[in-house]
Amino acid sequence: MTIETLDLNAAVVGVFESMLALPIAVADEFADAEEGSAAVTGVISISGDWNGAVIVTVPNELARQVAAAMFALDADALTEAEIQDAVGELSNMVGGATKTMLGGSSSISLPSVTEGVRYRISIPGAREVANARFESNGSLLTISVVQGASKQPIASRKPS
Amino acid sequence: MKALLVDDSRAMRMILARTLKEIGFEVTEAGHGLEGLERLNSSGPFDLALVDWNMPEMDGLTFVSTVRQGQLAKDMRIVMVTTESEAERVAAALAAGADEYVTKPFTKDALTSKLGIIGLLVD
Repeated sequence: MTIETLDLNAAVVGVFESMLALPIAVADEFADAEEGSAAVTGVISISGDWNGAVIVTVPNELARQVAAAMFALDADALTEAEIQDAVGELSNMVGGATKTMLGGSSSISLPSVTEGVRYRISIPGAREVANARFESNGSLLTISVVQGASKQPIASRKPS
Repeated sequence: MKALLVDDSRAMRMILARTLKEIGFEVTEAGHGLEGLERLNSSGPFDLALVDWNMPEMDGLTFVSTVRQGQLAKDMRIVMVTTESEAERVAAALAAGADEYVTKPFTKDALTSKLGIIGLLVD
């Protein structure tokens, strides 16, 4: 059971193009996200024949645009709950596609969403097996697929 | 015509509601399967239910089975709208009583095409 980067890329591009009508491009050469920038992260756990998680990290500005597209509202009119809900659903679609890529019999969790500045999502005992980065409207969206544990993710602050 | 949307994501319910309202449906929303059953009791009958799979309280497959085992909405068309895309999941949903199956992400055309297949597309 492996995840091909091309399949992961296609899954993310498919979500943005078919449901959000937002521009999206694979960002191999895109600069790293600015240290300390605010972001929203959605995590979907996968358990069964394959155990791990899909971690979707969206900078605040892009998260607001994703939510605006889903709710058909002005970005400035969105509540924090609406932005979290939108990133959770984005993570759900990427996580579901990832589960399909893996094959076998597994289940996905409901999304858990974390937001803040200078935080790191870790899943004890897990290792990254695939990642992808995308650029949309000048923001860097990152996807990380980790394998090896079925425990709940832990969000912790990065040391300053 | 009346439609019931059962999905724990309010964002997804908004997307689905926009599409259905554009083609003439009156829409009622529920955040999980149990709430969906409550809406059937309080606001039914509905012509259509769009149902997510993974939800808290009661998942979509249980909702579909419960509806089909009862007499409350035996004529209601049910379309699963979910990220669960494996063939065995589709088969399980259809066996439980779903009429059609749409995988997220989807286009508006893909959804309306499925509604046409089950005879619910309003011209």
